[in-house]
Amino acid sequence: MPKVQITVAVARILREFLADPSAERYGYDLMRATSFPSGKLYPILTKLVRIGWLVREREDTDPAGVGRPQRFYYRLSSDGVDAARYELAVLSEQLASPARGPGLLQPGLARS
Amino acid sequence: MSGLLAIVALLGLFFGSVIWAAVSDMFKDEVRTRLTRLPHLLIRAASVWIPRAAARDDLADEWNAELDFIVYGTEGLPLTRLLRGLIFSADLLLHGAPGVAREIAASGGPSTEATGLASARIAGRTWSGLFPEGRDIFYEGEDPTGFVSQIRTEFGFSPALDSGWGVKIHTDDFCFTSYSFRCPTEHLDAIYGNDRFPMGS
Repeated sequence: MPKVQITVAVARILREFLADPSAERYGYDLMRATSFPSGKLYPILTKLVRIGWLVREREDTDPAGVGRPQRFYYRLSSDGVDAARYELAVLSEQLASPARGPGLLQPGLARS
Repeated sequence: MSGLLAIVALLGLFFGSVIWAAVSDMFKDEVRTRLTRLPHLLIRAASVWIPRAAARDDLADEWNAELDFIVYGTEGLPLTRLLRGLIFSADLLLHGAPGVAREIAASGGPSTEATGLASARIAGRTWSGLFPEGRDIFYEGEDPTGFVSQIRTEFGFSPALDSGWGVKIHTDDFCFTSYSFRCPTEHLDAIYGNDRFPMGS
């Protein structure tokens, strides 16, 4: 398995992706969501692409039509979804109190 | 004689102001152009950090496209957006590109596309290994009754028997029902560790 150290910054980005695992996220969009500067964000994205948790693709648009160059987006790979959930659960477990209750990082309460 | 001097002075003033206006416009254009190019120059400088040509061009494309979006596509006045773009590219130059270069060097190849990347499968690590005594998990789907029935049929236990199942929770804004249950460790990977069921924790 590719090794990655789950720092708080990595966890923050993974959590952002897990909020909607199928969503395509752009760099600037992630910068705003995480408040990370570009210098912090892109090395982490590159790492996550390198280990296969994220997929990086060029958007399918016509630059002349939209009036700007094609951007690149990132999304979780299927392996990345599993791995990110696992690693966040591990982190949450390490941080959680012994009391039974929702996880710290992924409070998933169903609504009806 | 003094009348002639006055006319010359007026003409001089007129042409001087015209020339000054033209030079001033050219100067503003010059400054504007150079300022808007500056973030792109910083990105070009940042991409020099990237060790491989293919990855370098690819990343420069990405960063330039993001920069264009920041400078022309985000909210705010022109100077605000330009400043935002400058911060974006300067931080890439100082921190981002060296970090990305280290990652690419660590990978032994440019990490440009997903194809061919190593699998992130969690070899040898399982949810049951992480939670040997089981784990409290939440059903987050729209059909709790159907879920209970399916779990009972496939796995031989009923989430509905758990005290956390069907708990009404009232907040200031809304009420909802929480469906929590203790999943036995031997079923964690099948129920929780994949995308088959809409689960949370």
